[in-house]
Amino acid sequence: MDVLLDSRFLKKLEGLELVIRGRYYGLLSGRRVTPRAGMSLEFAEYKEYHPGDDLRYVDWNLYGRLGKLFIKVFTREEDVPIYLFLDVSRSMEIGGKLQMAAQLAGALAYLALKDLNRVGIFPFASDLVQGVPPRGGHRQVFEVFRFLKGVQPSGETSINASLRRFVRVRRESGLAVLISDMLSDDGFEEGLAQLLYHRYEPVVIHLLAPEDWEPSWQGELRLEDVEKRRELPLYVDREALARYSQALREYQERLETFCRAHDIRYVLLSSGEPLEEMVFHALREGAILR
Amino acid sequence: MTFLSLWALGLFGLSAVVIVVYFLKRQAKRVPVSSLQFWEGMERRPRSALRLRWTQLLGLLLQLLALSALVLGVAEPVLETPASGVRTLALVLDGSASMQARLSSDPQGPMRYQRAVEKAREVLRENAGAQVALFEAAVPPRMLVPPTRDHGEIARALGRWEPGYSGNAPLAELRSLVEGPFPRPPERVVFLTDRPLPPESVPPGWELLPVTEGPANNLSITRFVVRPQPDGRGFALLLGVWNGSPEPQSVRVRILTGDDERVAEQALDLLPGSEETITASYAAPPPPQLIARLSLPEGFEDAWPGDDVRYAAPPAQRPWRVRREGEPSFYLERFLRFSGLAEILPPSPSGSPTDVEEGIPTPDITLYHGVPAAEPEAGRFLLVRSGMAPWVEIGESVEALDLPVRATQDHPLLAGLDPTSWRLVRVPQASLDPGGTVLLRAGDVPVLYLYEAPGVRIAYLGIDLRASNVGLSLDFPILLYRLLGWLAPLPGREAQLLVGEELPLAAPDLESLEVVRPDGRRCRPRPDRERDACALVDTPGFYALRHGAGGLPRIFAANPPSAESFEISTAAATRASSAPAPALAPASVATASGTGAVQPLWPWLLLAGLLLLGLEWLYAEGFLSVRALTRIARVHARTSKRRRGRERA
Repeated sequence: MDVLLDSRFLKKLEGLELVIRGRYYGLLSGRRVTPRAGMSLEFAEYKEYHPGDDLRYVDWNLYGRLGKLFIKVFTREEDVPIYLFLDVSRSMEIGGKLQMAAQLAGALAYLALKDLNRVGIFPFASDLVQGVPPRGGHRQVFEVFRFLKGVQPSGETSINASLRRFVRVRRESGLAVLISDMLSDDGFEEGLAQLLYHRYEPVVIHLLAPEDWEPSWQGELRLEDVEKRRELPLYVDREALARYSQALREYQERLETFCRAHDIRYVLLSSGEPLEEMVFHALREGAILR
Repeated sequence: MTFLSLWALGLFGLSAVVIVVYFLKRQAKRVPVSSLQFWEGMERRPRSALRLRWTQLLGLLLQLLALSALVLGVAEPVLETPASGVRTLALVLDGSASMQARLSSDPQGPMRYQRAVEKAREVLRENAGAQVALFEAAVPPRMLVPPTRDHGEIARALGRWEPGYSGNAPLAELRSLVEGPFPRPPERVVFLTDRPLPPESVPPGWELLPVTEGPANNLSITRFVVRPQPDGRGFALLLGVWNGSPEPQSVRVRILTGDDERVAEQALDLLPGSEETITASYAAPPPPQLIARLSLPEGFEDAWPGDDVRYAAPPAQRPWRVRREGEPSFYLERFLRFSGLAEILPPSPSGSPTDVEEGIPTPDITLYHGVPAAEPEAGRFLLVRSGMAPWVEIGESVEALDLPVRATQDHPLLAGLDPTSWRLVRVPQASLDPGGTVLLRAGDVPVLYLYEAPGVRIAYLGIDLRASNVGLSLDFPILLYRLLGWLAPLPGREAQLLVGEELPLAAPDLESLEVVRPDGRRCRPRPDRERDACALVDTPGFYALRHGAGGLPRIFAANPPSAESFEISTAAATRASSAPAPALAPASVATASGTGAVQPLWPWLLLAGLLLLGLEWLYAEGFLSVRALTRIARVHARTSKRRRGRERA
């Protein structure tokens, strides 16, 4: 991968924005309204005066009509921490999923940083591995891109373990975007539930390869699990392929149902599709971008 | 048909590739997958796997079959259907000297061997498709072309072939040669010859095709020998001249040295079918090379001029030493002395063949005449009307005047002799050891018998020389000479050879031996090699054997057998041509190439190969599965039903 995302594509991204539903406390000023009252020009609400409040914000007109002192409260705009969880397990090397995931992560990071948010990359396999800590600013774009360009697959996937560890070390809630093929033997429910419990706003980008969806091989095969390095001798015929597709579809439906039930945005993507198609259509349709 | 072509080898290689591909396909392929969780629990080897295995195997078989058909096609096999139903054919061409004779008195007319070749080609065409071998019946008989289906090769060999100067091949030897190269005796043997063979002497199943026709006038010198005079003073030149024409002829015979100097000349009148003998004395030691030439009468067309010249070389070695035991035989001893063959030693005082007196040389041969011989330990014995237990026991004599004398087999000792003209009068009954060979019989009574055991050689002759005409015939000295030669071969004695024989090479230093052949060519013989071409006498003339650089050469005179001259005569031609000949099929039954019944199979094999490949493709694509065929049948039935419905409507 020479260039993670070319300048033409980045320019096209300028018109997009990452959809963040919740309000999160930020550290620095940004463009997202936070729960904190702020000093911006946008009026938020009134609140009763209490001693110690700044008298400059007393609405004297209201006092004239109602005879009570009210303080005008303005909104505060801060940055939002965006956590991009990137699955770097060995299963992601099948069908170019990791490359596509890295490009997606890059695009999302760019959009987040463009809106003055803090972005951190959290690669994971069986556990979290060293990534890029959340920071804001233009320089973070280069950090993120440099990291994503050099990312290598390794290890097995464990979504639950990785997310459990994440919530233990990170206390600042924000948007948590999970880009993975979600093929984890121990499931995904616990991990996503942990994120929800700790008031993160999870987003699942389920990325599968065309080979995962519709295997083209048939006959006498030795199927090798690239993560566990385990082989399964099997004769694959049409019937076996149909049964496989059925099982995969059931798994995917289970994931989608879980997400829908917990108000988690979910998008299913194929690594065989072009990146622009994913970003400008699929992610928009999935309400991840607008 | 050969597989040694680039295409065939390439296709063979392709079949190896097909097999390798098959085994690679059979090998389970390794496929990396993201997760095995959706595959686990599936049946590892469903029924379809077995079906696929069979499908692949059948596909491989079809591919290999197709390739085999193509390889076979490339090898250009042919389907041979013999037109006459004969699968193996042996063509035997008489290669004796008489085959060089012209068929008629026309000097431009064809020769016998040319007619033989012509007839052989007809037989070849008649048996198109048969496996054919070509033989030459000469001395020695030889195979010209081993069994082959390539009739072109036979035709080419026929075009090249010419007979030599040798005599007739012994039929027994010829038969074993002819039957040898075939796995089973050939179904048809055609012997093209000018020999007037009686039917009983022809091997069973052989067809004789005579190649003589019309009158064959021949004048020839049948014999020419030089013998020392019995008294040791000078030499005698003996000549036999024969008139094979139906008219009396006056001829002139000249005897010349090797340098064309005249030695003697004599005119001779010959009756039709008669042979006259000329004897000339030569006082001085004769030159080593003597040539007798026949001057033909004016206007006489000789069928074969090859026998108008004959060569002779005087014997160079000592005569045989023969010790006589028993009754003196005036005729026998006279014959031996007169012919210069033998030195007669007095009998031993004890009568034992092993006793040797002081001052008397050791005999080469012991002659018993009219007395039973003592049983010896070893030795060479000529028994004339004498027995020698346990090998020869003679009994009462029987009248044999009317009994025909016949040879029991072709034997070199009898070559050129005509025993049928002998009148034996009386012959003794003889009980002979079965380990020996009877060469002549008068009726059922053995007349000439040879026995050989380690250290012992016996020749038994049951002829009363005084009463019979044998002693007066020209055959007798020849027979006697050959008998002595067989009993006690004396190295270097023989100076007269027949074409087809080998030069006697026994010499002290064989390595320095050199042969100068009649055409002047020199060669070194290889005594360890059988039928060495250098030592083989194949043309008439003088052969010189040289030992080392300074030694005097030994000269041998080589001539065609006399019998060949006798075969070239009007009477012999009539006899031979009257022999029953099989009808030859017309030449039109076969094509000009001689392989009309041979069909190339490669187009069919190519077609079969391509069809098999197509079949394999259909099979691999599933068009030949039961389901597909059922579907096709169903569609066909439905269409037919609709059509019938429309027709009815």
